[in-house]
Amino acid sequence: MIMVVKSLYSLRKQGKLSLQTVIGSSPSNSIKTFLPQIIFLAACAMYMVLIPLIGFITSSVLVLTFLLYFFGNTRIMMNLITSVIYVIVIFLIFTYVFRIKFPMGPFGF
Amino acid sequence: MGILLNSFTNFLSFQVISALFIGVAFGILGGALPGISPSMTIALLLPISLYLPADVAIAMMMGSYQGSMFGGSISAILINTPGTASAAATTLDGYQMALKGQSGKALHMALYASVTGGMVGVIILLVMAKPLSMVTLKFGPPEYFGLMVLSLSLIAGISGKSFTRGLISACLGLLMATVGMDPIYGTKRFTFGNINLGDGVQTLSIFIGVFALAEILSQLTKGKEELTRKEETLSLEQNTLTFKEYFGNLWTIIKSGVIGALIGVLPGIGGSTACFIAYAEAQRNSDHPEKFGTGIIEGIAAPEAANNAVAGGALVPTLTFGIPGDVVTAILVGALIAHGIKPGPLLFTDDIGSVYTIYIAMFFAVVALLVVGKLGVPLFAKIINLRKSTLLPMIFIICVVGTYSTRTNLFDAASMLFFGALGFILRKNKFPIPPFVIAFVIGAQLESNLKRSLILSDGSMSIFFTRPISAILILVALTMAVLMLVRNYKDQKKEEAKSTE
Repeated sequence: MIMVVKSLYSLRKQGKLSLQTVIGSSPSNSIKTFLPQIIFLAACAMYMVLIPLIGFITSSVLVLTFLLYFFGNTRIMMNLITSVIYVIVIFLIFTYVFRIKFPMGPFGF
Repeated sequence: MGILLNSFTNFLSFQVISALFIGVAFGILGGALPGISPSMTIALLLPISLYLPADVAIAMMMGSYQGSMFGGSISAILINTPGTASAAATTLDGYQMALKGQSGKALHMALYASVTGGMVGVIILLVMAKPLSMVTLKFGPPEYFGLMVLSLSLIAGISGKSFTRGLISACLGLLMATVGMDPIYGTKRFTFGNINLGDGVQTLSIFIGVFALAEILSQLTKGKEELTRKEETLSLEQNTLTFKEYFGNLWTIIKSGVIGALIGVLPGIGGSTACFIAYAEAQRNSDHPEKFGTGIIEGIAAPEAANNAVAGGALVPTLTFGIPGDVVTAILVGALIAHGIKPGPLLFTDDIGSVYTIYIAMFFAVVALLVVGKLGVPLFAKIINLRKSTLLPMIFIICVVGTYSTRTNLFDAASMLFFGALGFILRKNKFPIPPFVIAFVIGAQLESNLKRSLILSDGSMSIFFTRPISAILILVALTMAVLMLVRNYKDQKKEEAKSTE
């Protein structure tokens, strides 16, 4: 019963809105303008899938290398080295200081 | 008194003090880096703070709050880009002073003004919090409900241009807060059979998603040239502030601090407005108002004192009502609740020790800011031109690890991605973020107060209007809503008139 009241209440609030206002001019929502964001989110989604499959360290290094390149760092070798060092530091801090268990890959790391 | 001493001695441990300094250092760093807001810094520290005991965590959060408020001025002065929204007023005179080769003096003024302002904020917090909590202690569920509706509609009205968009944002936040267990009956709602949603949406996923990931996404719109560009940093000169310059401006600083703290108490207005008001006030009372904007020291003292004082003021409604007035205090409420400290009037009667710990943490955070600021500014001045193209991907990894680690659950990281995308879409369509986050944080409280009132009245809505205080609060909220809608309507008419001309 109360749930109904609650939802009615918020609906009324929203209903009131739609009567009195116009949701201004809609900004350009063409896919092209938001291509970087879409690629970024797709990479993130890939990352989420990869973590349980190939382990936290490997997948993070892959994703970070790609993202560094994607954000404009063109030297790929440099990106790879940065990623490996960074991910290992993060991994060690969270494993030994905060005692977090990360998913491991089939290679044992 | 005994409890105060007890909290004090508990506070003086190596762990707490070092957490305080780490918090301040991270805060200054996050505040100083343009594109990383105080809310993002504190959201990213949140997962770490969940691993620490409550007092250590409080020290760290308070430290980073004060630190990030000061940090914004470093980049404001050296690269003419405010590191935080509230440092925008500091750029006006700060950068001009740096151009004249007085960057050292400007930064020292910013630091001392921040510290003094922070102290004023602490004093205002001490003076106002306890009496206010005595008033609210008499509140029952209907009054609480009224108070929350009023603050939410204020926040919705002030934080963006359009009241409607603010309300939609707030409703979305309330909707997110309903996911999971019902607060009274324990029924599961909107979980779609997913066990991971049983406790509701994780607060951390929302904070990190909306503040950190959404920020990264919107930085991406700037393009690669902008992201890889190194900011041109003016060098830090060795000149320092004289005693005379500091004490000459002491009155301006204290007054700005009081303005900042009082604005901080009001919900939804926030730091940047407070700084501009303090700046304008200092200019109005000055003997030489025409010199403002050309690089004079009062122009730094006023906004910097105000933005650190806001922190103390903003904690007043947060602690006494449990209603955060801005996004940073919303994150603090999330952190406190995670540590079993429930902000609200009952905190002052049941758990006064925690209140004292917060006061003491706030006080020492200001002291730590002085120390870290004094020693660390040359270092921070070097770091602020880190390239965003390197920084942002690294922060992304921390976002994922941070959300994953609290429950060692990948689902939380995935929902962080979802809220990041949501936050980005909201922002791109000009829906303000603060109402969303604050509504989410107080959503559970709002709902349980609504339900408890309805249980008291056997399901009749009249209870909100027969009790005088709640009736007044709700009527004020409604009047505000009508006024804001009328104002929006007029603005819209004006816009249309302009565009047809």
